[in-house]
Amino acid sequence: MSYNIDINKIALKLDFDVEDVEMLMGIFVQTANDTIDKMGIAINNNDFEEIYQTSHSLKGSAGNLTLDEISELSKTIESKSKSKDIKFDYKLNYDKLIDLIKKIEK
Amino acid sequence: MRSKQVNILIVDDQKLNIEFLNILIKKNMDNIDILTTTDSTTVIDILNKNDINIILLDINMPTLDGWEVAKKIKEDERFKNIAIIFVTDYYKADEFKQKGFKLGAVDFIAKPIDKDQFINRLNLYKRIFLQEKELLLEIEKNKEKDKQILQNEIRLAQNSILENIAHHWRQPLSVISTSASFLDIYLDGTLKNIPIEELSKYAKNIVNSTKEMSQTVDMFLNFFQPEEKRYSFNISDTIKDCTSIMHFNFLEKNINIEYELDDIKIYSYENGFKQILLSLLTNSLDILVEKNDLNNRYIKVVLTTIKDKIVLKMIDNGGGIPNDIQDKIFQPYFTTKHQYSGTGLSLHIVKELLSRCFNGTIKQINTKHRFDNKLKDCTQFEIQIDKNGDNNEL
Repeated sequence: MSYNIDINKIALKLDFDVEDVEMLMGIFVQTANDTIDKMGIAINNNDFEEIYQTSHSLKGSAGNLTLDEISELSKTIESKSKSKDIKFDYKLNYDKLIDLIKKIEK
Repeated sequence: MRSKQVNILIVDDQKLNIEFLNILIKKNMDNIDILTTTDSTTVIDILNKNDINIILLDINMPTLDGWEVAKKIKEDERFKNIAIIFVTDYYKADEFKQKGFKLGAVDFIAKPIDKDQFINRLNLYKRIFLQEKELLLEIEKNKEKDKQILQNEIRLAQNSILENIAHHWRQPLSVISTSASFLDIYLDGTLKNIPIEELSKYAKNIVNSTKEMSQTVDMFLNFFQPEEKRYSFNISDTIKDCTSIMHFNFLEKNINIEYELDDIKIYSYENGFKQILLSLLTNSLDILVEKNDLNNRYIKVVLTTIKDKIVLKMIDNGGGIPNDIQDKIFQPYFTTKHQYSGTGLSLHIVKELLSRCFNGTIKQINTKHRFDNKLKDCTQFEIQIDKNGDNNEL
């Protein structure tokens, strides 16, 4: 696992205070968990529209916080679901997403 | 500072986006107050209760999306100056062009947000807003100032009229005083053998003098009565009235006044016209007293018609107006006089009054004119009024 969250680095990148970044991360994790739950259900139901919506939303909020890996992965899921690509392994990538978000929670 | 304050409302259903923008703005901009809502249906309510200047509006929101919110805002006349900026990851150029600008949006900013671009854009809208606000404030202030200046000038003009009444009264008062003292002494029995005709002469002096005094009062009262009605009057008579009001000032300051007046009648506001004339006469008087020796003070008033225009020229040998201030004399607040020494209305007000009530114009030129058989450097004011023009309401 190469993924490690460094709040200080993000704060520097955004030119925000560390406390602000921590606060934003808190909100991110909260909403990301909701989104992730919805995405899980959607993947089980093969609901491409909902997969698209949830991944799109995750991409945006992770992007703002420069959580590039989450953002990139969400982007992949977003584009695959948009074209309703059934060859893509949503479940595998979904698990990767969950891992990445878990990392932040600590 | 309160006046530099700009109020921004952020509307986004994602709390994270709101907090992100909030921090970004607070960290990079001054004098910004931020309100936020995740519920787009509350926007109008917030606008009603707060003075919002800029809205950062997300597009993709449940219940009421950004387009609908923008439409509602622009439907209300009170909110027409609010700058709507769409902040969206939903951006599609064509969709935005068709919908956004039609809805009165001024801009869009794409997510994820480019910090520098975002702050630069926001600063731009802030600056525009503040400039507009300052401009409106300035206009209001000037209106108020103009009003005050006009009132002040009218008061000063009234003061000078009072001074004139005092002048006019001095002579009859002394006649009354002398006559009354004489009669008093006679009634005491100190003086004997005074013929009855002599006594009657003193009594008549008193009666005539009081008549003269009351005429003076009438003359000045007429002058200041706020006159709403137009009537037909002879301009040359009006000019004579004005110079007779100032008769004692001219006498005291040894000012020679010459006339070249055609008989011209006009249907208009006589008192407004008198105020203009008196202001110009007072100006000339002040400048002649300041610049010229006692034996070299001349004013000439010329009244004539050229085609369908009535032309009034007032010329004094005060030497003309220096080139560097010549184009400023009709501007508001301009005066060469010391504070409170000026008595007439300012030339700015004269010009305003002329154009508003008489559809007239005034210009000033430096010229040479023959007074006492010598060519002298003169200031000439020339007023033009439509002879049959339908003059406006006072």
